[in-house]
Amino acid sequence: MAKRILIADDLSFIRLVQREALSSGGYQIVGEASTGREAVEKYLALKPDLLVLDITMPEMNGLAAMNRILQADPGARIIICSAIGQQSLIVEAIKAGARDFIVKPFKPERLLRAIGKALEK
Amino acid sequence: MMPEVEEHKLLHAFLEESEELLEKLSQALLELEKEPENLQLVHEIFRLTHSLKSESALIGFNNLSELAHRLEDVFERIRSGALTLRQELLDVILSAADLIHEMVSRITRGEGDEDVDFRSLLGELARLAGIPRAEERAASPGEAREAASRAAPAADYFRLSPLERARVRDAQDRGESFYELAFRPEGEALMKYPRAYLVLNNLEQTANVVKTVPDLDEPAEDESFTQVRILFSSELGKTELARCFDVDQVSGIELRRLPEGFWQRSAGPAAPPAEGVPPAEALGEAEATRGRVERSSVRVDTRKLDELWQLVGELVHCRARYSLLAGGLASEERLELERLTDSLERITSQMQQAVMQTRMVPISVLFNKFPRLVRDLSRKLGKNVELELLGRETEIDRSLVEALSDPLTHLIRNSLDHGLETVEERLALGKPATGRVTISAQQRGGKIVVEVSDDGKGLDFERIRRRAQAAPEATDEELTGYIFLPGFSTREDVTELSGRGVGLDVVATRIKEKLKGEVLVSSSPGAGLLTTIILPLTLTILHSLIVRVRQSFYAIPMQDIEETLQVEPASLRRPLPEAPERLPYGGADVAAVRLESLLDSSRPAETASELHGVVLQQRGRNVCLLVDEVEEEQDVVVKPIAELLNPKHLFSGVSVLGDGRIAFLLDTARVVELTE
Repeated sequence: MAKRILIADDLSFIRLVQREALSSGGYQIVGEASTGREAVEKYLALKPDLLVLDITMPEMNGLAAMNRILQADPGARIIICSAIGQQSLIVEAIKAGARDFIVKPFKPERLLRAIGKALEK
Repeated sequence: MMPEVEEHKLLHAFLEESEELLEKLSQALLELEKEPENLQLVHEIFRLTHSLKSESALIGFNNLSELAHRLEDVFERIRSGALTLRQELLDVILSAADLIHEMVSRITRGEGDEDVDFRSLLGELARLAGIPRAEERAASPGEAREAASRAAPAADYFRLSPLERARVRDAQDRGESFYELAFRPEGEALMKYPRAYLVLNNLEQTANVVKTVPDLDEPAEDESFTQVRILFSSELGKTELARCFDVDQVSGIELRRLPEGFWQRSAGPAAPPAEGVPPAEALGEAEATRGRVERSSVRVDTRKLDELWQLVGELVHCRARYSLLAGGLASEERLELERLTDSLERITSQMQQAVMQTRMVPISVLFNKFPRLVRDLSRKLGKNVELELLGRETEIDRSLVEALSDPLTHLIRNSLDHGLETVEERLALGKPATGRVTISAQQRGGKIVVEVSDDGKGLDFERIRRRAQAAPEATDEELTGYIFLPGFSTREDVTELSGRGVGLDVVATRIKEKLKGEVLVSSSPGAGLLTTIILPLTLTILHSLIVRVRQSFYAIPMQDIEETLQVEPASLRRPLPEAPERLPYGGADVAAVRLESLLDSSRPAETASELHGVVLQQRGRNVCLLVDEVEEEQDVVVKPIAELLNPKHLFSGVSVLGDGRIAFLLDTARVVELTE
């Protein structure tokens, strides 16, 4: 069965790129969120296998959203998607439990590889 | 072709960097002289010369690069055990380091490195180190060097801090094995750090990390993370561990199990170092005892700091005006404004602190030059001298480092040349053969005190008396005053080092006029000389109490105030006609002095019906200063005061208060001194 992925990014263009990449990799996109709050709600409701999470989002940023999710589900697999220049935020995210990170703009293969590795563990 | 601006920037960066490398190099070389067997130092010097070589070659200073290169070769040989370090060789190495200094200062002056003759020294170096001359070698050393620089980080890597050593011991107690993981983060340069961190984080889930190189917890700003090494312990085997760092965008992964018993060997200090890998414990200790003050840092032009400082001063001034404004408003507006000024106050004080700290550097920056100076001088003079440096952590203003360098150098030269006796003389006098020079620094009541002392012969008061043709009844103290006169010297001969006593007067003038400080000399004949330099803190924002006498305002540092009280003139007693008045205080009494009469002794003290007293405390002594009015507490930005306005040296500065009034900052130590 295809793995179920939730994507969260405030830019619909980025979500589009992610959707394309994930479908071509055989993943099922179970939902999309455009704010941090929405990401938390949808994660808890949909229980996806993995969440691709943007760091800078309105209404609760990615880090805060990630913390909420990990509190409710310590085993949550989360990959951070961020812009370049957010190194320290990424390190924060890794400390908090992010499984990997990708940097925008990214190549579809890179996203798929990171997801693949994260789902193995 | 590089644009000119870029090139300029590059040169600037090179000079800053090389200055730092050179300082470390001098220090390490001196330490090596004391501990020629210290392999860690050899490694360090090798790395320093290697960096100097590469950097100077990069920017095209070929002579400098070649010289550094040859030094690198020498240390490469010492490191590999092919060469033993002897004094003769070390002397030439030190001279080579001096030449590098010389080249760098020429480059700084825009003269380039071409005109320094270093060929003969290279020949000497090659001869003593047994290195074939340039034309004979061609192929061999390149490869060796490559291998060496690959091995270099490993040495660094095994220097463990006390905390890291504790981790090693804990892991040993748990019976875990030790591993070394090396890898290269891939991807965007900026993202290598988080990439490396991800590996570390994954590893930490199942293993106990002892150390990472580079430091991933507090990475240096300019760290590039091209190669990361992690030393860790775990009970798991290699295959299980490998899964932990199976992360995307990581390459060159090498996992190595460290040999059995490796860490046990490190426990015994007497154990010989394992080949190429020094024992962790021993090295950790060596590093700890060397007690270096090294920190990662950015260099900032002092002018920028000055500017920032001025601006913070303006801000403090503004804040004080806001507070005053708030006082005059209706209550609801006042509350609002007070809340705002409160946070403004918090922020400005934090800013003051922060800016002040950026201006301060540990005095070790200056002190670090002296071991070399003392070493060279004592050899030249054939005297045995031990140098002791105390209070290296004392923070002083950046601008003082430069200004103090010459005067201190002079005092040290004087001590070695004129003060300390030769070994024979000392033994004949029953003194230890080795003379001692101590330089100390400390902060004392808002001032910086630097002392240079020696256990030499001290001042020869008879000689000074003859030379100065002073009256027979002149006291030692008066005679001491003569040595500060221009051109005064009791030495008949002129020595190469200190010349004809041109010195103390220059030192004193410089410190008084340039730094607004004082120089005190005290000497006990036969037992040595102590020179004390007292400097005001140059930049200060002082929390002060503002007081008024007649129409003028004065600021007193709060840290020097014990309490304020109301004083009835009737309670003042004068025990003797010439003695200061005394005031009953805390079960005893305390000297009381009117600020007005201190300022102008000719003025008759006005008999007000009530006075205000400010009890000052200075080094355990109290004096009550009488003023007309005690106003309020304020943070004042202290600026230097013109000599003309300060004939009695009662003030240590001047300040503009929040409402634009001028206040003189009282030098409490001086007030106490004048009163007694």
